[in-house]
Amino acid sequence: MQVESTSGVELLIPILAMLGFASVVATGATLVGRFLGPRNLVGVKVQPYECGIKPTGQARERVSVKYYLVAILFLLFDLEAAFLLPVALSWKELSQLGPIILGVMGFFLFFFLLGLWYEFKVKALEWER
Amino acid sequence: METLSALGGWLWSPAGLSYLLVVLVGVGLLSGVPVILMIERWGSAWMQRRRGPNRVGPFGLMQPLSDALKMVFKEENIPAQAHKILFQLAPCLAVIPPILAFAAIPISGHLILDGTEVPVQVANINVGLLFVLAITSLHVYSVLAAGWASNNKFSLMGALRSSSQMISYEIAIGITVVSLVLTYGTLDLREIVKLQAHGSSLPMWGAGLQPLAFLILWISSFAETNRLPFDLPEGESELVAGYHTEYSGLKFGLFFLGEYVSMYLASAFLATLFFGGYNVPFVNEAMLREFWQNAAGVTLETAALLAVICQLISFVVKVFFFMWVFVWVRWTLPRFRYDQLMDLGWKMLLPLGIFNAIVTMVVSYYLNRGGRF
Repeated sequence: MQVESTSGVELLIPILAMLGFASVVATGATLVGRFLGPRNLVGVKVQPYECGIKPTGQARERVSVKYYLVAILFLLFDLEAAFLLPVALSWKELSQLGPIILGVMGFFLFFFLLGLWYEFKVKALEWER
Repeated sequence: METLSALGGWLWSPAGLSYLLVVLVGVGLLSGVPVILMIERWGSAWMQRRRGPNRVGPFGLMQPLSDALKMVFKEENIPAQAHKILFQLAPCLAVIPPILAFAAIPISGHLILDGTEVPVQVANINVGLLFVLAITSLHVYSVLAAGWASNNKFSLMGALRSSSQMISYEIAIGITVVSLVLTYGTLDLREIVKLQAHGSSLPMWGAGLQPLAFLILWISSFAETNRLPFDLPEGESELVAGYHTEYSGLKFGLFFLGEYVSMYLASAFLATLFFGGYNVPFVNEAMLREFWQNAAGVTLETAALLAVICQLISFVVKVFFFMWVFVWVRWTLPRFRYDQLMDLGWKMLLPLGIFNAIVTMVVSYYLNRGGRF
């Protein structure tokens, strides 16, 4: 008798148990470190580390817009990858539809690649400048 | 005593095995970290022609233990201007996702308990591939929280670099997974392992069927775990220690632990997808059981247990192969420059991944229709 893999609630409980184990390790280590080590946080010890000189200004300053652009592009491309996954999963049935499905996927991938080409063209990911 | 034996009986039953495995996998992972630490330090010493740890205990074997003890008794510094809650939450978030994701990794074959075949896996999820990817991508939150909460310029820069590096390589991984799903036709990691077994419909390791996908995922796993040559978030020469500059004591220890458990996870994931997972090369599970039944003359249940142990050893050997490559690459390749890193992710791996997905799509279309378009 073969036990089939399921997606029911009964599978959630071992995963929660694993989460519990990991959380106990993490919080346990945090608490142990807090109580066992010495605690004498005064003076320059609590200043942010800046290679020995006095910290200047705030750390939470404005940063390069490039990082924002990477995040936006990540959202776009990851969505497209996420759309491809169900197609890939049912590709066996889809390919029985004949050449039309190749055309449909070609259409989708054309716009995917068009987006990538445009991204390269406007130098969205050039870090030298 | 009776309650203990009742508990033991329950843990060795189809319903309780998952909980036994939670403890075994968790403890195994945590005790695997000192093992790879020793391998890494000896390996590094060997490659650099120096001695390496040899003072603490026989052959320096107690070195990881003494390092851990030192960390426990260190003073934990929390900067005055840090965000107190996020600062303490970030190390926890670094450790929890990689341990949790191990719940979906099929670590061995099937046990026979009470007449049923029970998979040796914490949770036999039918979307295990997506589960692992989803849980590991939570790692970005820990890096960002650590960098932002520290209120330190180096930390914030390291966190920004690290998070944009991780999400960039996640796209390459996402596209590559599409071609894997096309090949295997399932998201179930246990099914994927079974398909790579000897005598199944795909009697070949994934690395042979999808060499390009293997290469892309392998390279990306270095970027995802922030290991050299992609350890820019921790580039000492530029950023002191990156996002964990302000961490000390066991909080730093948790980041360290998280990195090594992530390496174990990446290795186990690669072994499952491309190196046939727990399969022993050239034999399948039924053959192993038959061998033990004939060779040792035991019952089917015991033969299944012995087969599971053989498969577990095979899996651990494969995982340690990938772990060794992590160490090997660390002392072979110099650190990348940041623009080179982003170029590799976006201009090499992503187009290659799309190319691989398109080729796989057309080829499997051709094969699915019985050799015609």
